[in-house]
Amino acid sequence: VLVVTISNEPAGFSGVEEHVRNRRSNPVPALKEARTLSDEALAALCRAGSREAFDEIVRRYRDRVYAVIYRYVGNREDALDVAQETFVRAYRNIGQFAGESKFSTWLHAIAANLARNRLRDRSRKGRNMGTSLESLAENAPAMAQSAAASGLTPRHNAEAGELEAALQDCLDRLSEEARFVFVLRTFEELPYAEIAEAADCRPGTVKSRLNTARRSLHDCLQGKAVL
Amino acid sequence: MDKEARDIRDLLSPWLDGELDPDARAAVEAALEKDAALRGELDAMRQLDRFCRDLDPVTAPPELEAGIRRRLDARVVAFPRRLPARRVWPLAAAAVLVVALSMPLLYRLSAPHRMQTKMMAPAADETADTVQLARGELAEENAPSPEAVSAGIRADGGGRREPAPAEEATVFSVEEDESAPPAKARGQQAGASAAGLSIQNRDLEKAAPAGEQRPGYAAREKTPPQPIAEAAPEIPETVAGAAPLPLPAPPEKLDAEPPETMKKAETAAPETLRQSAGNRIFVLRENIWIQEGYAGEKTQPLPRDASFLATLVELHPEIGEIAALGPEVILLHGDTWYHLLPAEKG
Repeated sequence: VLVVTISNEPAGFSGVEEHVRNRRSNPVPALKEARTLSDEALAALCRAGSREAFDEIVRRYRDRVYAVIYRYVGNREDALDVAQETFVRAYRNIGQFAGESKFSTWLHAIAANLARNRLRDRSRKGRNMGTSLESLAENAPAMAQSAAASGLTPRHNAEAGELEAALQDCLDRLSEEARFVFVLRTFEELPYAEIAEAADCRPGTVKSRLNTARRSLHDCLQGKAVL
Repeated sequence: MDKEARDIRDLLSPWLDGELDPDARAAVEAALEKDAALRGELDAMRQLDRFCRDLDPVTAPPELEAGIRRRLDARVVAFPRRLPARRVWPLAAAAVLVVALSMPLLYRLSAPHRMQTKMMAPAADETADTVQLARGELAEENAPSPEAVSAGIRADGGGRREPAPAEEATVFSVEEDESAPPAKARGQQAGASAAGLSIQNRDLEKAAPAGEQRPGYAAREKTPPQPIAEAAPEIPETVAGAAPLPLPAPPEKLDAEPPETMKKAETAAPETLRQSAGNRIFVLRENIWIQEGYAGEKTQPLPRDASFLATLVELHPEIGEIAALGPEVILLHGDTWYHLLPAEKG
């Protein structure tokens, strides 16, 4: 028996009809689904030419990639530039991502290469923007913005800024290799195998670099009375 | 510090990070119980880790994404992976066109010299000669005069001659890309592709021996009797052992209408137009990569920003690989032929 119900309710009220109507009049953009997709699926979509999939990759990794690069190069200007270039390179070379490693590892490897190149460029030009007063001043607005967003007090901001500067100064004293490994482990919490892949070295090397980095950083921060 | 203590010390970081196998972990823990200095070192590492984790997280500035978009747009990256075939195709077509257009000019340039040597073909045969010249089917007697040859106007590529010496000057050449075989080898390829076409100067000394029968000879004899045929045996002498060579242009039917030549280029360089993706073979036709086996069935349009495509790729990653072939792809999935189209939203 077919029961037909006549109702004055809007058609969309039934849910299903609304869904169908919406999809017809306003196709659901892939981005909505993209948030539920794995990195590898997004990469495949990106290879297929989907900018929305790429946007999702950027959304997913922007903070992580930027943070790693920032810790590595030590100033906001270079970090922003290198992070942007990292994503652009990833997009252009997405066809080379074979899925053998994790997407995040592949992305970090690109970031590491670009950041390393930037540091070498900088040292060639004799410009050390590591944690100079200028770079601290330059980074201050971003830090203030970040702190304001988190509702912290100016005192806290000042203290956080000092600690941040101390860490960055000590990081700058490490070798590039040890710094990269330390940043990926401490701030990204990547396993050694992935760090080794991103840093293009053996896992045993990761262990020794991490040991070196931790000892040196501890001594350095202790010397600054931060620890 | 002895070696064992040093080894244990080196294991502190991996122990802290949970990266040790059970045996090594047990060894470190045993050493930690006995060695106060080791415990102190481990505490220092923990303290450092805590310090780093307590710092405010670094977040990307808002302008990061805008900058990425700007850079991508500036570089006009429509598709991340450009297929070589897509670059080669217009070049190959252009090469065929250039050669096709230049054939009458070549013929005209050689005509005055034919008159001088009384070897000019009757007007009615001009077209046929041109075709034969293009095919390299004319014998030496019908070739351009020594002057024309010494002027460096000669087509090469039919593969019926010895390749030109490397030191010879190249007057004009159309190359495909760096992946194309070297000019010498290319000259030996029968029906060289449009990309391999080259018009080269050739040393007269390299001419074929007198009276050598060429493949074009028989064909030429079918045409009405001409002075050319009579002059044939004298040619090598006329040019003092440096017989002007015919113009063996590589592709056959070079004088055919453009679509035919385009088809020729397509068959001449098949490797640039066929592509394997997702364990299937695709052929490029009119800028669409079409899966082999497609016979004009009705297709289901599938824009790249369709959420269904995202689902498909998620479930069948090979679809992503196939979609990367180019902006438009026709592929079979299940019982349906899908026509992958550029994103509707651009």
